Amino acid sequence: MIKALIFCKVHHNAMESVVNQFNQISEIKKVFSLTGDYDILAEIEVENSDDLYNSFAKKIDPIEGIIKTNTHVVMKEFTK
Amino acid sequence: MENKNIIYIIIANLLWSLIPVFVSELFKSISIIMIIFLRFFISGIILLLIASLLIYFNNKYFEKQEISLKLILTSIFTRNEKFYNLRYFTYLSLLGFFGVILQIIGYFLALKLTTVSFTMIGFQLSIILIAVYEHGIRLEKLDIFKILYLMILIFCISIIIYVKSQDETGLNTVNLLIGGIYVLFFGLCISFFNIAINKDSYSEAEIKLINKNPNFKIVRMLVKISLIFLNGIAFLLPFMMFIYFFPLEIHLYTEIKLFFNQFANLWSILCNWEMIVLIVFSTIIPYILIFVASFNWIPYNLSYGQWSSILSIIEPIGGLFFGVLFVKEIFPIGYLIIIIFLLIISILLRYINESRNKINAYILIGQKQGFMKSVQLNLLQLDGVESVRSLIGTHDILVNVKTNSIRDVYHLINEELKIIEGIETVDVLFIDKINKYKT
Repeated sequence: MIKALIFCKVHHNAMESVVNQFNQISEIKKVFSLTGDYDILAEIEVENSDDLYNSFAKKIDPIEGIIKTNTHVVMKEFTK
Repeated sequence: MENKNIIYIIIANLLWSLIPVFVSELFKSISIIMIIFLRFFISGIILLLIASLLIYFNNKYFEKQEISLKLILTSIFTRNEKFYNLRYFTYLSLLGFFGVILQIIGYFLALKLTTVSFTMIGFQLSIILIAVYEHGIRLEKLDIFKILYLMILIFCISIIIYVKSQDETGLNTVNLLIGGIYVLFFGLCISFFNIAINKDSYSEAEIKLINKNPNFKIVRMLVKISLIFLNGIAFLLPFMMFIYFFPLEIHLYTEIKLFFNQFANLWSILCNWEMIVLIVFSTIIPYILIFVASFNWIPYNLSYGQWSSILSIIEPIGGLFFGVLFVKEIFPIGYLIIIIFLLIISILLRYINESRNKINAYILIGQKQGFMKSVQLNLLQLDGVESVRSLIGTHDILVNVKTNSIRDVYHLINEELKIIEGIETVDVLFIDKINKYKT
């Protein structure tokens, strides 16, 4: 299982449509609207790197309104 | 999942609200000190046994990291940085004696001398006292919703006092005044307990173990609450001796004297079904429910602590309702409906207040080479940090932060987070809205 965080910058007025399209992607488990350097944070969970590529190439990349994405792969999660 | 855990908290509060029903019969023949002694001594031992069994089964049958009893015991003598740097043992003893034992002494004395409804004022009073502490000491914002729910609580307290002062068949003015002092004392002790219980901190070794084996968290909670109970009982004994030889307070002195007279019948008192029900259904089961809820809590919007605090008003609602229903307390039905309705409204207002003011943020961190493990563990020890994720990308760490005010975020970032050795860059992203949350 690979978990990745996609930080996105979106065009003005495109926020709602990008969020709606993210909500429809089953691999994306969490979507947050942010204030700061990025506008949206999406958490994606896939089985392997092929699935990660496919989700990006087929579902995320075609979404209109996204200016830039910055993706981080989660190595480990710590809680208390 | 969060809904299921909320239901556990509601059930736990309803079980606690049945305490006046279970103890009303016991009060007729048994000293309240004896009830307190047996309730917390037996519950403490049983919770400690459950923790030991969990450790045994975990170490024997699960492949995850072993839970070290030695680590739990040695951590008792480490210092709690969040609570005046006192040793953990002292912290648990103060919680046990002032937060549990003295609180319940005040609660039971008020129940015995006055009525269930009058005693329930203590719970409402404690919410007001905690709000005053949060605003005055922690400088939290006092918004319209908080003002409204505080006004509702004050209004409910006024109605109860008015009804009880008009009740000619029940309380006389002297009992009402002395009972009022017990209620105030009970309210102060419960406020101390609720404030101090959140000052618990994890050591680096404990955080490491929780992340290797999450079962350690529930074992730690069980050991902690059992030590709170047992330490409280240990301090109760010298306290009783003091009051016995210096009878400063007549009601308490009478109860302590009765305790010593009844001590020889300890076993037969313990076998009383009301006593067993009190220990099992109003102590052990509610605490286990609370621990399960806390253990399984998924940090969606509000934290476990916030939900637990919001729903704590269920205890006086249940207490009032069950008091009239089962203890046959005389309370005008019209006033009862108004109070219960207003208290339910106060839960909603409190929820709105907590959700509106909660600051939920992500902090992206860049770290220096060679500090990977130490930075993550240091971050997790900070108050307000919910989770830490180690990343591959332009940033190295993502920290989820939840605080009660913007002032707390400022304090966390500038005075605690930035001084951690190994942190190079810090970028804060505030969460404006949660659009999707699937677990």
